[in-house]
Amino acid sequence: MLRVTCPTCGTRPYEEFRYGSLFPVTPDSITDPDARQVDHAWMQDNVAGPITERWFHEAGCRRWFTAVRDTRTDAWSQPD
Amino acid sequence: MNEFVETLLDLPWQADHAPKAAYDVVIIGGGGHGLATAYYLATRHGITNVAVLDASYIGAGNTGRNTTIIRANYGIPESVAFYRHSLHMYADLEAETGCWIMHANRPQLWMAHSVSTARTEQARALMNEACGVPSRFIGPDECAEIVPQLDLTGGGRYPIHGASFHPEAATARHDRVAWAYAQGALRRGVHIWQHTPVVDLLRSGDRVTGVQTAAGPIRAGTVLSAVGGNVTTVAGWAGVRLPIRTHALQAFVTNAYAQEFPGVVSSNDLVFYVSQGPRGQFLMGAEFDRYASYQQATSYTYVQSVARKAITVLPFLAKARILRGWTGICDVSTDFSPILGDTGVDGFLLSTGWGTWGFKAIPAAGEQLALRIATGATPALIAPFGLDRFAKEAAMADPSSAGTR
Amino acid sequence: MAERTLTPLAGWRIVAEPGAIDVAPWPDGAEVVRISADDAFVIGGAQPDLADPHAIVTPEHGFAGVVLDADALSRLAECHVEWQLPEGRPALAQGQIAGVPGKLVLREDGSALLLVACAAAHELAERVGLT
Repeated sequence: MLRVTCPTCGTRPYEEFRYGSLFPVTPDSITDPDARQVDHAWMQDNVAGPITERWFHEAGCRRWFTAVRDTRTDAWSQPD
Repeated sequence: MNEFVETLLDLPWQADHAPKAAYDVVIIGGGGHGLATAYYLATRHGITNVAVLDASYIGAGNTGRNTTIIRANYGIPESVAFYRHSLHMYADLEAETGCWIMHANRPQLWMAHSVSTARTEQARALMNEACGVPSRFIGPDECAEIVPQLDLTGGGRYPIHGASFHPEAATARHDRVAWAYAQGALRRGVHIWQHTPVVDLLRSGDRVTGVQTAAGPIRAGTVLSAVGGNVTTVAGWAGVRLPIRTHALQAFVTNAYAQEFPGVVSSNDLVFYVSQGPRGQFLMGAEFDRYASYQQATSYTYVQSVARKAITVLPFLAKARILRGWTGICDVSTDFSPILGDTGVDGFLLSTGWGTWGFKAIPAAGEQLALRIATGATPALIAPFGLDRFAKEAAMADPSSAGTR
Repeated sequence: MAERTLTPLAGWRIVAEPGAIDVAPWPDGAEVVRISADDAFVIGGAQPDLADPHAIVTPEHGFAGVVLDADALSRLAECHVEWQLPEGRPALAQGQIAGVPGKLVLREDGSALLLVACAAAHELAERVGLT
């Protein structure tokens, strides 16, 4: 079961949180403005590894925070 | 031995043979989709110089991790036409392959617990009826006639306002579908290499010319990726960017229940679905985990949440005991429709975006992709589902039909 | 033992610069619950005055609370809290209690003030067996 660490409140079960989203990044190699728009709207990095995400501690301090999670292991690390 | 004892497929030549240096077609991923494509290449087009490679055993991924529901009641005409074809192919699959896949008709009720959702389900029924899938909206009384176990008050909080009724829905045993296709393909000379992970694609100029496996390179005229959750990695080797995010979808099964439970019960408002398997046990599932994940882990939170939803409308399930749970990592496309066929890279085709709705599509997708590989032309049935639809502003958005949104 | 009933509390809700909340002169008799760096709930006392000119200070009637003695707190934690309470005192712990979002103001004397949104107070009382 996923446990999430809120910077204000500490580690809590997943159901206390709302999952925000991750930060979409359109690669610089896509230069055409239309293609960048399509990429931004639909394409996903879908990284198997650490990703930067937003989470909301709904049942606690009710604050949004940024966290880095490894999608293969659910291990958390500090954002840059 | 009873009829439910499963025996693994015999792959006699695998022990003392190695893959050939080149095949006409190499299919990455020995799940239902990969095996069905190989089967139809061999049976419909006489193309048998084909290898199916799987990193594990065949059917180890999402083919063996779903809730085996086969239905056609989707939300856009192109999807209804495609899944309807698949539904009909499933009905004929035992006759076609000579293998028993435990196919059984299980009518589906897609319930509404509010007036506005009842309108959604009425629209779904009308739309499907117009597209040639027999469907109608039924009221609470008829729901109770079909599934007497329903609590029409929904525990007082989710009263059943009616349901869209899809009488042609069905279930089949997932492993047996994979094995039926594998056996049919093997008999016609297709090679299936289990425990043969692909680690890269071979490229020559702008073309994909084969795959690199842990044991060495294999050249191919056409490479088809039929992998599940890890498709982004495979497509990345070809330089193809995908609108896919990998999410975990959990499901679980209870102990057996002696009474007949006549169909598949889904709820649009609660977001869950229940059906009875051939052994009498109940299969339950709900939405996929919101956050992206490559982990095949189950969670107590999920089991608790689905059980609560199920008991709300089917109180007798409170007495059932949960036996097993499992998780698949699903290639969920951003418009909730599959992505089939050409990728813009010569020699490299895709069957992905199956998210949480791939099992029901196995026969049609396999048949249509085999047709694409054999003829070089994209068949009309899957033309709307090309990867190029996003750039053409022709996305096939249909999230509400997944049942797992 | 304190009376075990969740009762609505009157106080002040403050959203301001963290530095201004850090050094605010709190009114006499007030208990300060620091919900996050920029957010505090001050129970009782007169309207606080903060150094931050953009501070939002409004009357807060949204919380109900009950004081639990050390025994009642440990029973609550054992039966209804799925996460670890902080070791130190005083401390604030926020999270689900019996599945309802709540807060525990852990005091130095071992007692605790259980806070919950008024709208969910009845639900929480029923779940944890408060009268």
